[in-house]
Amino acid sequence: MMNEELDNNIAKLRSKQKLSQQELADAIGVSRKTISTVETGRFTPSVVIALKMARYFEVPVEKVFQLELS
Amino acid sequence: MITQLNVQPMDEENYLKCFALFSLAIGTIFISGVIESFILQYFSNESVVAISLNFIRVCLYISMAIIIFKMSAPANRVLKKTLYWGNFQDEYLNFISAKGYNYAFNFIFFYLVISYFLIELFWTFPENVSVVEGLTGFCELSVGLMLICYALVVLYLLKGDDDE
Repeated sequence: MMNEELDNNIAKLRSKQKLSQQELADAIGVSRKTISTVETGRFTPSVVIALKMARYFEVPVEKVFQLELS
Repeated sequence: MITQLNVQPMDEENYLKCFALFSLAIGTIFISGVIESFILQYFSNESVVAISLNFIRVCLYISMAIIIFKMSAPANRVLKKTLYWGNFQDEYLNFISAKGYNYAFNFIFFYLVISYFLIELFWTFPENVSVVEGLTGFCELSVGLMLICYALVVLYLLKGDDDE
């Protein structure tokens, strides 16, 4: 059976826009801990947060999160 | 119906942290009470051990008072039933709180099952301890352990992160 892991590009998208975790957190109305734990894969966010991030970065949600098969 | 307030994530985080510290202080007070009554069977009330235990207890009460004072500011900005309903507006704080409850429940479940078998198989009430005293001590220990377990999980998950 294949394992599925959630990967994300939040750090890359943030650094492209020179944005800190706190600034992103404030922009989408969550705590900095939420951003840092999602970014490092320790916490899987809800669809709402995923969509808010995609909307903020103006990219499709698949550009922010991908399901990796291992 | 639960009314949602416009709560800042930082207020919720401080509230959860203070509640965890409060649980830790209360849990330690409960457990220290049981340990104290156990130790005082062997030491007099004027011994160094008894005096140090009382000193620790006083420190715990003072720290609890400070925590309550600190908690009052963020608590005013957070919905009162947030902790019980698990409806923090910030998702990660909700997750942490739920984890705390999960671990506390599992820990206390196994602790009670193991205690049940140990009591059933081996334990008899000592002659100098009444049944009521024994039961109160057991309840104090159980509540204390449960609160400490919840607090440690929440504080561990809330601890500072390094990734900026």
